[in-house]
Order: sequence, then structure tokens, then C-alpha cells
Amino acid sequence: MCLAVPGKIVEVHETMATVDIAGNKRQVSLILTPEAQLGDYVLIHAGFAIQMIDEKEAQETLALFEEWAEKERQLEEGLG
Amino acid sequence: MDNIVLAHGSGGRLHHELINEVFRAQLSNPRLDQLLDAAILDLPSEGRLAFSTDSFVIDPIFFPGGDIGCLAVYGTVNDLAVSGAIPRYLSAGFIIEEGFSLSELKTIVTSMRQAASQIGVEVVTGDTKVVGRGQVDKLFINTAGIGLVPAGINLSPGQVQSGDQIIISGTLGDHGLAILAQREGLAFSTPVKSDCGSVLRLAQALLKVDPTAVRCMRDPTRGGLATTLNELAQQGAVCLKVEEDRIPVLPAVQGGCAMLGMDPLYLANEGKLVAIVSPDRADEMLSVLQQIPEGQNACRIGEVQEAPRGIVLLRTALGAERVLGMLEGELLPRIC
Amino acid sequence: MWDRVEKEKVRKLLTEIATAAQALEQPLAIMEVCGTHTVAIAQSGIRDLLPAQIRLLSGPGCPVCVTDARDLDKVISLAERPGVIIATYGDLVRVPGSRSSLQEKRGQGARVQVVYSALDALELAAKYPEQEVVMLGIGFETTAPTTAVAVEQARKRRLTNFSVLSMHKVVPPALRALLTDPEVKIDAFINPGHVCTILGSEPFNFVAQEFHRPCVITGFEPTDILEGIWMILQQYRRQQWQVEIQYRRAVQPQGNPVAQEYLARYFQSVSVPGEV
Repeated sequence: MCLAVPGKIVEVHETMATVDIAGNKRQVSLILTPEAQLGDYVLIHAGFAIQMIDEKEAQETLALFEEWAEKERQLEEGLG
Repeated sequence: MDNIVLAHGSGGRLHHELINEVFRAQLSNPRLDQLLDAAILDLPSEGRLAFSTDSFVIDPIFFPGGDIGCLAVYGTVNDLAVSGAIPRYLSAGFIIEEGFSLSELKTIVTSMRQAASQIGVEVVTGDTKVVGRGQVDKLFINTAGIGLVPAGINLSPGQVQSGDQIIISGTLGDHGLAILAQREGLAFSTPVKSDCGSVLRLAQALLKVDPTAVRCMRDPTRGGLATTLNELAQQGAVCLKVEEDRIPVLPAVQGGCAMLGMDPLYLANEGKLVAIVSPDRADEMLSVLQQIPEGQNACRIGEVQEAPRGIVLLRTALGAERVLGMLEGELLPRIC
Repeated sequence: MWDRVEKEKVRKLLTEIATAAQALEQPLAIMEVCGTHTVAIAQSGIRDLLPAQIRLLSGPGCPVCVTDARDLDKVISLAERPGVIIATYGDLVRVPGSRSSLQEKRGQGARVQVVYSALDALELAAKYPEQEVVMLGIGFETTAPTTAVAVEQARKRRLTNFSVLSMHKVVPPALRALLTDPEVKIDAFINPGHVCTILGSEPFNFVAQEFHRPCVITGFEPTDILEGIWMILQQYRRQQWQVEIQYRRAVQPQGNPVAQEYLARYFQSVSVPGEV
């Protein structure tokens, strides 16, 4: 449906930005994410930043899973 | 005169000036300098000859890590090297577009000379044609090469047996990504350079350890590692099982491929060696490769199995298994 | 490529999924709507690692498979016109219409330029003012806003030789059609992560509220997909149907309002005869 990859904004000039994707740099448009700024992580699709990436969220994904698995287990014991 | 004109290809005075000032000036050696219709070569007393040819139409003709000139030398030399041959003599045929820059031609031929002398091969015969504007894209080069295959060297996919180990000499997809980044319409900058280079030292190092323990070798160019592995599996009528985790890919190549919707296993390489070797000498061969600069990232990526014949199996990072097919169609950036 | 932490997470997810799957009364048919999920599942080999009770179905979410042959024939006839440059994503180049393909037409001299972005197609129009550049608008709600921006820019820059053949498709009606089709049995959806970065979760609430099926908006790493499946199983265990977001790092409930505005302003949604 749609490939998109995360990239870090390393330069901004009006509605365009240079993003770094694992060392590769490309110009992308920020028209769909006007709030994006220097240093932000954005999701890039077909030459556009289409959404901001919550970097904190990205790091926490693993921790959150443990927390969930734990919560589900307690729920089960509580119900069981 | 700054640019090539049709007269440069007409066989007349300008043609001879071009041959002397550009080609002989750079590629001079006793055989080429005679400028006869054919180079006369001494046949080796023992061993056999290897003979290979390749054409080079790359666009752009200059790219990070190389150019069409050194690529034209390395391409044919690598084909000879992976056949167990020691390259000796090259031919070089040029088809040049009217209007092509003379200084760029000189740069390209200089690059050919540097590559040839670094490897120890001589360009002993050649030809130049000039065609009208638009009939060719700037410059096409064909090279053919002759090498000596010492006695006792008998490499072929037919030698491959179950249990043999698959070794790759370095990271994959570098050339492919470096060229994609230059393509009009894609326009992204990348730190990745083409791996354009010779694999002769790598091939010779493996054979020096034990020629009978090297089953066969290949240099995976267009179609990438996946296509080369499929060719080997089919020609050897064996199954090649490789581990995704072990296949070395630069993060920038991984990231570039993710951005474009491509797979590094299908991107071209221009200076990598794939070798299938017997299991008991594999470690030794790996460490020998790793001591050579162009082999420092060499690693073992998998092994040979009996069946299913003619198939390449990929053990994914997740621990599951899937078939790794040949390249289908063109490599194009996708959105899905 | 994969560090120890990632592998440990996969192992843990697979164990959790296997345990949860045993509690199921009957096998689950989970549809991954998005073609990119289908590719990620195939390439990582997830199917072989899932318990037998879980079956993954490929959904309609591939811009090529949902492109009608009649649209492709329109594209091919456009490519045959002199003075036309077709700008397209690589996905469509090899796809055959009823009589030819763009790849074949290019071989016969048609000008077909593969682009990475609609903005690149715009630059083609600026660079070749005497040619008509036709951008093939394929893809779903993730790609359509980028086409809309290109149209807006073309108007601002007065590029009168830029036009779009829109074959964009929308996802929610497709899911509704699947859920109302008696022949199709779908127990849950792995929802397309990137479409939802634009739409958010709200347009899919009907899946949970009207049709009582779990709908989990999922990312594209194997660990995301496994986690998405695990969340579906938890909904079945609790028998509570919701639209949940697994792909939290990129999807907010409200989606991307700016992109939604572009969709509303530049596109009119129509149902194509014979289709959904």
C-alpha cells in the first residue's frame, strides 16, 4: 500500500527539508507536516514527510510490550 | 580541438592522432605499440587459456568510486579471476558519440591504464569508432580478456557438494545504490561509493590456500547476489541455503533500499567475490580474505544442501525459511 | 542486521501468541489489508512461525492489483500520444493492461519517466513546457495527498502542461465491502499503518462497532506485525472489539489533519462502476 521510512530532519529551507535516512540525504516536502522542525524525526513517503515520528515512542516500543504482557497476565489471574 | 568529431573515427590523420595521443600515450606496451592489425601472443607451455568479454554502457560514466574506464578493465578481469585464471591481455573497443569531450576521454583512458597496471594486465589491441550524435549515449566500451589457468585448477558449479560453505568477500549492493543515487529523478546523496574494483587478489588468495578446496567462484554483478546464487544452484543442481543475518549490507544501503522499496540482494556489485569452498578449509580461507583490504568484510553466509535442487533458500532474521528467487524485471523505485 | 534485543522480543511475542491462540474456540482468519504488510510478512517468513489457528489473508491494499485494466488501457493510449510524458511510480511499469504495458510502450519510443515523488513529475513539466506531463495517481490515502500538493503547486507555478490521471483508492469502503461480502470470512484486520498516519483510527471504528471485529493499526517491522497479531488475540480473549494502534510511533488517533484537508479539497470520492 505504501512504503514509508523514518528520517531525521537535518536542514530546513521554507517548505522543503533535507532528511537523513541511515546516512543518505534527500530533499522532502514539509507541506503535509508544517509543524516539523530541525532535528525532528519524520515518516517519509514518495518525497514527502507525511507524519511526525514520536522518537520517544519508538524507543519505548519494547518496554511497552513487556508492560502490556504483564498487565494482560495480571488481568488473567484476576479473572481466572 | 576539445571534442570528438566524426573524422576521429574515419581512419585518417585525426584517427591516428587520437590513437597515439590518447590510447597509446596511456596504454603503451611492446605489443600494443606495434599497432599491427593483431597482437601476437606467446602461448603458455602448460595450463589452459581463459577468454572472456563484456560491454560497458553505464550511465553516468563517472560515479563515486569509479568510472566507465576502470570498470571496463575490472569487469573482464574479474570474470577471468573467478574462473581461476591469471589475466594477461585485454582488448578494448570504443564506440564514441560525436561531440564527446576529448579531456573526458583522456581521463577515462588514464583510469583504464591505472586499473590495468595495478592488476598487471596489458591492453594489447583495440579499436575506436565514432558515430553520429544521439546514436550512442556518450561512450560505450567493450573489453575482452585472455588469462592463463594453471594446471590443476578446475573450477565449476559441477564441483559443488553438499556441506560446502558459501563465502562472500564484502558488503552487498554498494555499486547499485551508488548508481541509483545519481539517476535523474531519484536525486539523493549517499555516502555509499561503488565497490568497482578487482577481485583477482581475493581469488588468487583462496586458490593459494588449496586449489582443490575451492569448488567455484563468481563475481555477482547485475541482478545482485540473489541472481548469482540462483545461477550457481541451477548449474550445480544443488540447494544453496543462506542466512539473512549473516549477509553483510551497509546501513546506508539498507536505508536507501527501504526508501526506494528495493532489496540489496538484487542490487549490482562490481568488486565482490562469491566462493563455494569445502567445509574443512573454509575458516582458513575466510581469514586469508579478511587480511586483504578489499576482503576485510568477508564472511560465511551459508552452505550447500542436496535438495531441493536448483533452489536458493533464505533463512530469515526471524528464523523462518523462504525461497530467494532471481531478479524479476527491472529494479524500479516503488511506493508499495 | 538484528540485535539480540529484537530477537528476544520476537521469541517472546511468538510464545505469547502461541499461548493466546490455544484459548481460541476456532481458527482466526486475519487479513493484512496493506500490500506492504504482505511483502513484509512474505520476506520475514512470519507465516511459518504462527500457530495453525492463525491464518493470514492478503488484502486489497496493493495499488497495482486494485488498478482496473480499463484504467491501464487509458494509460497505455495516453502513452501512445505524441508530446506526452507519462510520469509514474515504478510499481505500474510492468503491469499489463489488456493489450500492452508501459514497459512495452517505452520500448516502442513512448516517453515513460519513473519518478520517486509527484514533485519530481512537476519538475518534468517545468523542464519540458512543450510536453504534456501526465502523473499517474496510484496508491491510497497515504499517496493521494502528495498528488494533491503537486496539483496545488502546478496551479501556483502556472504549469499548464501538468495533469493527473487519478486512480487513487480509499480504504474504509473496501473494508466495509469485504465485511458485507457473505463469501469472505475475515475475523480481524491488521490495518495499514501508513494509511492511518493520514486517516487516524476514527474512519475504521465501524469495523469494531458495527461488525464486532478487532482492527489493529500496525507498523511494518516483523515485531510490529507480531505485536499487532498478539493484540488481536487479546481482543478475542476479552471479547471486546476496538480499533487499537500498535504503530504508536507514527500514528495518532486524529491522523494528519493537514493531509486530510488536501484530500478533501482536491479529490472527490466516487465509486467506480463494477467495483466496490
